Amino acid sequence: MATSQMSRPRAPVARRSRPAPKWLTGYALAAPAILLMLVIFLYPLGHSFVMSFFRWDLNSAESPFLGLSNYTDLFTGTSFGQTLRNQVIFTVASLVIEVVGGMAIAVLLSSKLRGLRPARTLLLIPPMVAPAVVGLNFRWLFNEQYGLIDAVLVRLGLPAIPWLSDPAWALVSVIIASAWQNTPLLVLLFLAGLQAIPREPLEAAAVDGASAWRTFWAIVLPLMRPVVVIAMMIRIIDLFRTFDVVWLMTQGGPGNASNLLTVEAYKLAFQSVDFGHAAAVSYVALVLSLLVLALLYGIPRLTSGRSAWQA
Amino acid sequence: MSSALSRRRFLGGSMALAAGAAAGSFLTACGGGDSGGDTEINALLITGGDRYPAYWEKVTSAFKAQTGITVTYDLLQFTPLTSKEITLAAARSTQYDVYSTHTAQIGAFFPHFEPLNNHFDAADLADFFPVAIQYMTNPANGELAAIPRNMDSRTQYYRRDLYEAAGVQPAKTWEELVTVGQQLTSGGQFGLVLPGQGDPAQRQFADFLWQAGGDWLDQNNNVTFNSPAGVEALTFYRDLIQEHRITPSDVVTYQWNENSAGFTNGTCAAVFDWPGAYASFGDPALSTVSDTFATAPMPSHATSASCAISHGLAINKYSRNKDAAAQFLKFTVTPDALVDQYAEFKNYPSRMSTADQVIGQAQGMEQQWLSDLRTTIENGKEWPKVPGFDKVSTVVQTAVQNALSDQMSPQAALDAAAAECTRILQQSGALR
Amino acid sequence: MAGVTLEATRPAPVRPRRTGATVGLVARYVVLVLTVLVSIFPLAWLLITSLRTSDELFAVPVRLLPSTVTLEQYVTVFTEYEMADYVWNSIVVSLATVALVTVLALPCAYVLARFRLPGVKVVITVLLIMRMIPVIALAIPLFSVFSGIGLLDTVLGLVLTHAASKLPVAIWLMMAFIQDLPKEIEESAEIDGAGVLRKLVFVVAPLIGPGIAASAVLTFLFTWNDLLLALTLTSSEAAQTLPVGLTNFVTQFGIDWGPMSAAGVLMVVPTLLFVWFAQGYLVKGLVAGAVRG
Repeated sequence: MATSQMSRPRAPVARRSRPAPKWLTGYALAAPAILLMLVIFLYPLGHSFVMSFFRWDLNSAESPFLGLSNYTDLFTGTSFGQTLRNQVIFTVASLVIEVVGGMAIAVLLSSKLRGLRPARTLLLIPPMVAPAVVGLNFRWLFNEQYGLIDAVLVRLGLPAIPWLSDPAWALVSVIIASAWQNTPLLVLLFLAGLQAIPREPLEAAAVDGASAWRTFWAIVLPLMRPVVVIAMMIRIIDLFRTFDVVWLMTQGGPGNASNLLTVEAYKLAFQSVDFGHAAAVSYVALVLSLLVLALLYGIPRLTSGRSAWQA
Repeated sequence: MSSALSRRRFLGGSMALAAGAAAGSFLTACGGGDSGGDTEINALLITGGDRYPAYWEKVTSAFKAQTGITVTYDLLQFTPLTSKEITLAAARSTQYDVYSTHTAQIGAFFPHFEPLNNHFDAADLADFFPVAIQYMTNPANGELAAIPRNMDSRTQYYRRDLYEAAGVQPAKTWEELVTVGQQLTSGGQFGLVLPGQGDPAQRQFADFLWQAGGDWLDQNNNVTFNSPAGVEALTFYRDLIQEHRITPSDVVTYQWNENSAGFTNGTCAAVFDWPGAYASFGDPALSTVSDTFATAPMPSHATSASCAISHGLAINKYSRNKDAAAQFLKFTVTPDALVDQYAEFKNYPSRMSTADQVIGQAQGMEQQWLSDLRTTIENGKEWPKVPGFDKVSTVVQTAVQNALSDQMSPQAALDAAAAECTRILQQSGALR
Repeated sequence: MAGVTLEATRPAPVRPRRTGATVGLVARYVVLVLTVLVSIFPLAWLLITSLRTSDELFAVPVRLLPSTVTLEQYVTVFTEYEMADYVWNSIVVSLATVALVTVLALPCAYVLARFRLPGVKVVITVLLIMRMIPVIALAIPLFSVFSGIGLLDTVLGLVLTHAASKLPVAIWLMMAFIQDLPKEIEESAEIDGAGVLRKLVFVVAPLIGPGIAASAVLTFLFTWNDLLLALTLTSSEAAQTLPVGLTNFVTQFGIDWGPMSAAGVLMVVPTLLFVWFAQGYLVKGLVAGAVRG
């Protein structure tokens, strides 16, 4: 094995003078994991990408090349525009709720409070619960006949809310379920980030008599920016992949009122039996999330570049 | 463009025919040895409740005793079953020899199911309801893709106690559906429950569309579901929910399960449901209305049409055991098997002779129900089985839901859907 | 609101002297209690639902507490559904995935952290992008591949797929931990004559134990929770997992909310166990991935 060449005793110099075996060792160690991922995912990815330019369903004995028509069809069809709009609303609203809410809660909780340790333990639960359970559970909570939430509203003398049957509320409902699951995750990430902030600038600000609000904006938030950006990246990736919760709560309905890109892809594949268009939707989702990520990744560099310029 | 498409379809079709013929001759060549004692076939079968596993165990062991052929099987419920068969067909899988299937989805599978015309003789097929055979047949080539096991047509189930107390009769017309429903709607109690989501919403729209005198496509496959009849149907459907408010307000989230549950839990006084519901409504373990429900024919408008579709079994075109699979198919649709299926689940027999036998043996309300249902089946309809119609279905489902939830007017929703469906049918070659 | 953030980031709590500070403290406790309540209540409701009789599920008005506590829903899921199979498959698939991921991810992460090899950046980028593909895009071709090689509806097929999909995150996580190790330790091991593999197993692995544990816990839970892959790749109780079983309660004749809640509670049990016994690793894993990513 390649490793045996590495284990020549007491000859650290040889390691530098003979780099080739080390490369070999490196590739050999990395290969199994990479090979498994390539075999399992790269071929299916390539296949579905190529087939997104063909007619791909069960009816055609052969699959004619269509060029970009699977993609252009999406934009002339009746449902994709609304789905895209929903995806934007869902992504932006979820991000705002989760990041702002998560940051607010984290900041409030970051001082030493009694009961904070068990609270943090409990906050770990929602992000780790299966999305399928979350979806079905919220569908039950939001049920307009037997659900708890409307029952409580009515008991309080408020009107019952048509959570899942009203087009506008349906999207709100899935945003609530998703935010319930993921806001605690961001609280935990931000808490960890806040603990890593150096004390000196904060103490200096306190000495200068800066208000807490200003300290937060001027010192805490800039120091937290890397954590916030990474947290947003993680969430954006997952928000563009959200399926279980929406499928089990509303199936994207009523109509397309809470339809998201992955739900649309699922419907196209398993209801329309139209794998070509389903693949096209999936790749649109991928490209969109990459674009958003690139934008997000670019913003800190842009702003830091400008502040450097100003300095 | 269209001529290129049609030539490709023609070539594709003839290639499929050639392949089918080759497979057929191969089968006859080695058919004798195929059904020997140690033959084993795999089946993907339907389940819909806790009694199905025992039922299929009984059927397959009886089949084994008679033929020596072992049937190993997996059970899935209706929706996951369809999704699974879509992926299996896409992979041209040989894993299963026999698939459980349904008229509603059969269109997507025509190229993947073995034509059964060679395996069943015409005289035997003549005993099945003609509508059942017709809608399991590929209109493009006349090949039968699946053998019907039990008919799915809907019945108007209603609460005898509530109707008597209010002094009303089950609705015979759309107008009566509204007036009766209004009389029975008050304080958490609703006159009617309907499904309003997904494929069930399309099924309900289809019934209203036919009852209004409309249809999906014309003879040349031009889209006609946005005709005045279609708009009238969807408007009526929406108004039951949004205008007359005789259904629970959240029916746009209901599929079949919530639809049935609305009746069995006693909140809704009437429901349109499948034959199997007769068994579950009457089962005190599953239903609070087991002693108080009764049946009536479906209400009518311009026509009295409702759907006549069926569950069936098909043979995987890529199966290596087609003869043994065909024997299993025949075994599951013998008159005895259909009588047994009725006894187990109230599944309506797909053979006319068996239906008559079952009607003759039943009594009272059950007999009336069965013979009403026979009439519904004989006049029953189904949406067209042309290439691309699965995509049309998804588009229509969304349009129907858009109208039901007041996001679009029925006219606008159907017009938009019709434009998109026309393009889909052109792309698939069904429409030129 | 004022005074809150500043104190929040101070190391030591300041004894409240002014009313404003007291109000701030009260407000923080209110937020703490509310956050915890909102996070826990939906799951508590699931538990309550699972302990009701079937009749009471559809009681109007909704009762907060069950009039009689019963385990009938739990009995139902094991007697009338293949729940034992689902649970067993979920355990086997999740544990096997953890084992495979750990064995494969550690050497790969080590190479990424310590070797300057051409193509490393490409691999990292590809790994990240792979995480972003909607699974549905892979479903049909993956199904075809597995169908061709006989891995459909098998535990092995499910394990391989899950391992491949969880590997990027596990590698990422372990890499972050390895990068934090002082290189001197490894170099001294090298001087002692240890080969790369031995060094990895006997020196590096123990030192990044928390990282490996964190990756194992996350891999287990994400595998345990997955619905879409299992739904696509399985069709019988030979390989169907709990989330697939969960969707089986949505039957043609009604959503069985009672048994479904019971199954849902069973699904949450490992989450609770890990949160209780391994919360440190869980937080480490989640934070390491994010803060150092």
